[in-house]
Amino acid sequence: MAVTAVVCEFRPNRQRWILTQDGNAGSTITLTTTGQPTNDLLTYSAPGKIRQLAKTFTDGYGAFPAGALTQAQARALWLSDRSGADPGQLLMTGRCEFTPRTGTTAPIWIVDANVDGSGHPTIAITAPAAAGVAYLDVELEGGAVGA
Amino acid sequence: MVLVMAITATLVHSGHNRLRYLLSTLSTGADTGVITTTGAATPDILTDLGTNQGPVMLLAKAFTQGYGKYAPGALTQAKSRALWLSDRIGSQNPSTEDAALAGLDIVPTALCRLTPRTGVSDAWFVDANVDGPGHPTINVASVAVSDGDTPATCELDIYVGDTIGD
Repeated sequence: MAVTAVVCEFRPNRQRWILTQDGNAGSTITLTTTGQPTNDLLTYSAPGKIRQLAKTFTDGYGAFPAGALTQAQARALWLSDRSGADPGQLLMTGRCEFTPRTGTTAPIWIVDANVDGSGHPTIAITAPAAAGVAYLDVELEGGAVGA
Repeated sequence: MVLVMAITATLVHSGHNRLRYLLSTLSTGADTGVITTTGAATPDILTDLGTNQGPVMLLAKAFTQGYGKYAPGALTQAKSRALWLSDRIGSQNPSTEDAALAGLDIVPTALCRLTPRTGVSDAWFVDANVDGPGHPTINVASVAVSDGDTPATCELDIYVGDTIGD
């Protein structure tokens, strides 16, 4: 087994996922943006900024044109890491934050952003090597009113 | 030797939309603490809000007043998690909508966030549950965060993100 992700709330400016790790070292999971039935940011997006970010591949976002994205662009969109690419300083971007719920040791959950083979942005999660449960919030960086 | 004692939660900020507690423990093993919602002595959300009215107060009164689809009375852990962790999995959504997770027309619920401050590890956890009569509680836990000589500390924010202001 591995780590699983289930959405437990989605709002215009935030998605909350519950991550459950069985303890296998190196367990990873990817949240996609292609409209898949599960583990997909677009599927579970309410109308709002998160959906706009999730549709960057088809609609573009600021300086990012529609089409295949790079990892640097995905990091700008989902981690607000604008060091390698910037959609525009006035455009809000996302951030990811963990809240551990249960566990037996230091809960080192790791999150990064990347793209799939077609250039769709993804969020890549690596779970700690111990059983545990954590929430992952995918939300807008500061400046958004409301959840 | 593993020293076990309860985590203490000291109120360090009380606002209309957010409470902040400083969690502290000297335990070198597993430790737990509870924040209640019954109006008991601190740490208790109702008590610690004082005269601050707002969405956090409404959540803390779910047992006596109900909240959204939740009738007054004993709650379940799933409902407590919906209220305090915004974990609406299953049919435990307090929204007036029927859809389990729908994104727009839903009543606001809270989030808890941990910010480890000092210690030898950052293994802090937060969950929601209920006490014997069914009052919601916020349950914190830690695992080997202190060396036994110096308390390990962690900030806990309990807040409603749908709001403007603190």
